[in-house]
Amino acid sequence: MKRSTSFVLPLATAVWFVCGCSGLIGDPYPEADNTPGVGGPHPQGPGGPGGPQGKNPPLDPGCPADSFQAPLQMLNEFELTNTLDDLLPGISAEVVIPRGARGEDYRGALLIDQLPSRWQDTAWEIAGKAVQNVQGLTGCAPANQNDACARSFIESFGPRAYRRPLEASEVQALVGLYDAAKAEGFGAGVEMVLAAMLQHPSLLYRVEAGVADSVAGAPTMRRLSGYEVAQRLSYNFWGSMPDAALFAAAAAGELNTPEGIRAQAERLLLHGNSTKMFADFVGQWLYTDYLGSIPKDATRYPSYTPDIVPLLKQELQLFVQSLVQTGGDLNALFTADYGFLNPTLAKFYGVPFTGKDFTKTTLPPAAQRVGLLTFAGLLSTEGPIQGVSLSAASRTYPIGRGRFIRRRLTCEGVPPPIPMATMLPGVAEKIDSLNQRFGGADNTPPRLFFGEVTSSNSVCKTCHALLEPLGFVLERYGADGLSRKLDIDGVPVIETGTYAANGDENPDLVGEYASPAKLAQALAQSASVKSCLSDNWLQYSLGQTLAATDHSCFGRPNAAASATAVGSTSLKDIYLDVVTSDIYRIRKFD
Amino acid sequence: MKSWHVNRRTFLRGGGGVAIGLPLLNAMFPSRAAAQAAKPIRRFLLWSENNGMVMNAWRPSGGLTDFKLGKLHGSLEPYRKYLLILSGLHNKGSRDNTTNGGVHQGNAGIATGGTNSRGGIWSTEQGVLAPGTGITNPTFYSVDQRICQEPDYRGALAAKFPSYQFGVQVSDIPATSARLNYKYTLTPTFVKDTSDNNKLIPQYEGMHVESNPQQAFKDLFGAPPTGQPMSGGTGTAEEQAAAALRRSKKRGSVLDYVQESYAGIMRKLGTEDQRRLSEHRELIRKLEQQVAVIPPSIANSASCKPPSGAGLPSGRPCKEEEQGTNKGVKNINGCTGDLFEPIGKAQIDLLTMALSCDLIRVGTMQWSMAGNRVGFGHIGAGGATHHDLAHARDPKLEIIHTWYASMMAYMLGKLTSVVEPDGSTLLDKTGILWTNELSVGATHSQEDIPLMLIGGAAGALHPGRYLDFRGKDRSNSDLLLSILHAYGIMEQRFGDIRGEAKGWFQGALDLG
Repeated sequence: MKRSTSFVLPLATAVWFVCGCSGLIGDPYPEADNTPGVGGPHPQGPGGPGGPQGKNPPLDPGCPADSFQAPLQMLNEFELTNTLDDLLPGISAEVVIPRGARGEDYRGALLIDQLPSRWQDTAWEIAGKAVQNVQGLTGCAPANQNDACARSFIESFGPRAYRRPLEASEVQALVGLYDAAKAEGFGAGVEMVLAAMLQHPSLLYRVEAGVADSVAGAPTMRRLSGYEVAQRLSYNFWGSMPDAALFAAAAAGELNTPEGIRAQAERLLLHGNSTKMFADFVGQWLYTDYLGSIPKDATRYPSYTPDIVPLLKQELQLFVQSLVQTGGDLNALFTADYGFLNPTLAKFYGVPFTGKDFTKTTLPPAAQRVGLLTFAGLLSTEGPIQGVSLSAASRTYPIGRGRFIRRRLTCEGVPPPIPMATMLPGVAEKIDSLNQRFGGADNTPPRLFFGEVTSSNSVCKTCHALLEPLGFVLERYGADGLSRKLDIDGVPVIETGTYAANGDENPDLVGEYASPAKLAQALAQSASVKSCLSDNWLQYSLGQTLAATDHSCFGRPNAAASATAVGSTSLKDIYLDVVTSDIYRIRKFD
Repeated sequence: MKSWHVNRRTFLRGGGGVAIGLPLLNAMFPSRAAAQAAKPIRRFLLWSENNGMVMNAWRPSGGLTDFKLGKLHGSLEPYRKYLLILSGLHNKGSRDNTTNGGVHQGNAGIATGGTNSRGGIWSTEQGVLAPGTGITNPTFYSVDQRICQEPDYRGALAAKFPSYQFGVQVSDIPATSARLNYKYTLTPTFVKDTSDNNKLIPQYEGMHVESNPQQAFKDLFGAPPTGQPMSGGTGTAEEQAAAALRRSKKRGSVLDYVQESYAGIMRKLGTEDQRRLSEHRELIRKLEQQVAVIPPSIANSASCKPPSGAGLPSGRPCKEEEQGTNKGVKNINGCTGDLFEPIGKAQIDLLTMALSCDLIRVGTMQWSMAGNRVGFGHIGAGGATHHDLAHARDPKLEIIHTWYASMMAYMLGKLTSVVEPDGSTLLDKTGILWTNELSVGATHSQEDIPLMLIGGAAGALHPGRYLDFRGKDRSNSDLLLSILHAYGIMEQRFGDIRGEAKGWFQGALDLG
């Protein structure tokens, strides 16, 4: 049943197929595996080949059981599109999966009433297109397009589609579908099989059953099988299905240990295929997906043209990706004095530049580049919903900037605004009168607005003291994200600000900051920022909503890292510590 | 081998070569035809616009029956006898939610009467919902979704679409600012309640709103009825019908397999994950039950004229800032100039026909979302987004709201142009709740919101009246409960349980 393939593979994936593991084509489960795979009994379900190899040691009692809850995830549109590209290269179809929410607003998928009906249509459309070249799909020449070829296709394609070995009964059921339609021709039979596989829950969901009785002393906990770990890793690092090498690692049992997971995770993270994931993750983490949804006031910010927008977004992605892949640490993340420029972006920043493509470029002091917080792409974002804006069309938005730092970088709870109707008398009128004096909310100088509103009302001040005073630290950067000396009213910018106490959260950060650089240095040294990065990554990856108690579950396998000074923690280690921690490998099952 | 294999194969082999004749299809709907003769079909629609109102131009003058329409509503004069205008009701559930930010999220409360919070909606009544607690008797719905749970309000497509939400420029982000329609689901996401010790709270995401008329057409009118020739097919009509039947059977067999696969996977999973998959499986099961799109008894009636789908606009209208000089041209952000009205009218046309053909009996027409940045330059109200004009109390707001009223008049014209077999119009059989989550946009006031019920709803409503509840401390929850009662759904309470505690629900409003 091992064949070489006539599949057209995308270049990046092809690498894994051409190398020493070419025998795995369409057969990710080598016979060396001591558990019967395709065609054999499969008592543990997806546990199987990557299955039990001794029990996991008892869990840290400090890590609460609920931290191991991980809701079943349907593939979101990004993941499903990439998966189909990998499974059936060259077959194009519009994949529309409604957007749902994973933890802290990362994109998930939403099961709407229309979904099965629409997906049924898409599955048949894709299957119909794929069997137009049924020889390419199955690898069988016309003379050999028979029942045996169909079975062989099911046995090789099925495990890639379901991302695990198939049970014998599953193969049989698919052969039954082929039989039912083969009277219309070989292609019709294969089309039926393909349409069925594409609608299968194992393709559409990241199914995780875990391995029963695999964690010592914790009957409701299950270690994930190797294949289940493999798909977590591939979706988390590449936004797509596992490649042949990852399947092989699952089959060989390598993903049953933190060390094995770390090795594969590192390979995926450093691989070029992770670029798509970085773009997807950074766009959501830093809200840059919303860049350009509201154009800037062209009279005030003439250089902020629509063609700048995708470049600003890409700059942040390249910055984060290069730090992660080259061993950059938290200090670099928050204090780097460089960016990634191309000619257009260099002109926007006002930096001399001779290259053609994106190049790591040190910015001159005038640009005031101090790490992540000072990228124009971050600071100029304005989204269609309030919570994701750091600037407005014609002015800065210190509320949003303060909120961004607390929600996305230090992971604090920030209460949403209270209804105007319940504010103390006079406040709504005061806001109205400010609007009239300054010709609309967009023109109201931020500090004045904050002062007038909060001085009259202690209820407002409770929350707003957490937001604007922190956002004011970034007032040096205008709504276009560029450094400036004067604000929109021609008044010299004041770049001091305050990280006010928010209950007992992050006491290490509370205080006055004289400049963006001072704040950036403090963030780089903050343990909260480090764990907030883990939070964001885990929420993006697994879709959980994290509670404060979950932090005790991170990074335990790598105790050495926690001994390092916070600022010197490499971003790569933060990622890898997450995927090797118990919370990633073990799941509550009840 | 499991029994379903046998069934499927028997079905395929037995029926594969034999086309079921069309008359048999007609025979598949006898009970529906009988039911229609006995009882008029009643419909319910939600109509939503946002960013508040110009209240003094909205409010009618005069009394209960001698009222004079507000300045904005000249275009509705021909439909005066169909209007039930409601003044003085507060969007209370949303307004009183001091911990979870009702101010920009009023849409979530408007049709649910519930409190709401970031990223979803919840009611304190659902506070017991938590992973693994076992959920029984869920009561959490928006009014339209509660109505379409009842058999009387289920159209021909009810298995797939118990209701259909048409939108114009509605965000794909299921934020509470962008959703009115909620129904109980097995798969809420959970968020931390920062005001309560980070307790995890289930968040119910709003239902999908379709802003693309082409997709709405495909959903509702796209698939050919079972056994009917596909358009563009070749061969004789009989050959085409046979091919279509084979195709339909193949799809059915695959759905059998997929359903069985869901069941198989579910057996391996924990309770919570099982719930998620069972919800998906249930939708697949309904899909399989959906044998035909338009029941022939209705397809052959004079009032049902399914559209061809030709010429439907697609794409996204530009926001005010994007409009510039490129009206009618696709700009760099992928939007097209002044599409807001053409898309709205196309959606209204589809909605009207979906009701006429009895595909759905409950629906929504949603014009963008709370805080929207729609530009109205094309009707002389440009220069700033609707949102910014609302904040500035700009006089141009009257132009915008007059235009929205004219869109309502357009829909009412469509509904009255459809004469049903019993001689009444579609509007006589329909009740439309016209909402706006705010009264005064500039201050985000949720007091005294502008609400109107339009249509006869087959005798359930008694329109042609102006009911003024100002000073009576009544809320939209009172109205929603009263609508349910008018529609024969005798719930004891609806919306936030706090309403009951405060004695709001002392009696239904006089709607009928």
